[in-house]
Amino acid sequence: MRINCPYCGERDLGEFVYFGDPVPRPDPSAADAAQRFHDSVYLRDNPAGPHQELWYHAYGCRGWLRVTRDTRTHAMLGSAFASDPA
Amino acid sequence: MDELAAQPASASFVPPRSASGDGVVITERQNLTLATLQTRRGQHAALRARVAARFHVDLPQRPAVGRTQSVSFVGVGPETWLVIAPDGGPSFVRSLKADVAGLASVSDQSGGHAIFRVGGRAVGATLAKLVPIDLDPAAFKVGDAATTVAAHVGVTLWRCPDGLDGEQVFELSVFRSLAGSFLECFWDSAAEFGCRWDAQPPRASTSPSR
Ligand SMILES: [Zn+2]
Repeated sequence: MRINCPYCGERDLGEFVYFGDPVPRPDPSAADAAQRFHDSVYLRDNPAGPHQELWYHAYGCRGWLRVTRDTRTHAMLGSAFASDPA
Repeated sequence: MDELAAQPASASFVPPRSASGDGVVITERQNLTLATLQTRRGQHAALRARVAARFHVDLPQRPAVGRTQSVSFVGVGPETWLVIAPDGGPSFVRSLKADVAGLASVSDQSGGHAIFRVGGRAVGATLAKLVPIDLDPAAFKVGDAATTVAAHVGVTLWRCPDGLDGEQVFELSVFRSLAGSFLECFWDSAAEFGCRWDAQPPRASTSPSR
């Protein structure tokens, strides 16, 4: 699998670290924060099809990417820096 | 510049046996002043203008090298560059900090990285064993750069003007503490072609960064 980095270009999967879905961090001051973090960390969708996920280009530009990938085919449907507006 | 920078990173490296000949030639570039340059938020255009005025070079906006006679800027990430000043001396980083004050952060890396120059007819075949990117002359042009990995060691490499022998020449930057590990992998990959350690950098047809 190859991932297209907006800065470095198309690179081998081995240069990247997978982080997970780009879900917002739960509010740690909420009364049910523990439950929210549990849900955020463990209860993930596992769609068969297009999926948004965060990858860290550890062995390249060290940028965080938001990648859209088809989980059935590994087709890359888009990528951008996570710091860019969604 | 610091004490480490005055010592070759390859000082303790003992080249293993290789085939005879010099399919690959390697040397360490020494007495370099190195720094990283990173734009502060919102100051990108101002930094480009400042660097253009001070050094007469465009900061590359992609993985590529911007060169003058005295300094090179290698794009290593968005709004981040490795700055190489051969013989820049201890005052270079101080003056660079002053030049870009308020626009970018500068960090002295003179003792942090080792830079090797490699050339020879088999340099492409050697690097093909080490890095997972396409360095074919048609795909990776003179002045192109890439930050990637070679045998688990993070490297930034760039293509210099071809040598007098007409072969490709690259420079590779690795974290200094990993230089020995990198050299062993490089030498093993080059051994079948014959690898020669050169006291001086293989002369390029034009002097890219000295
Ligand atoms: Zn990248």
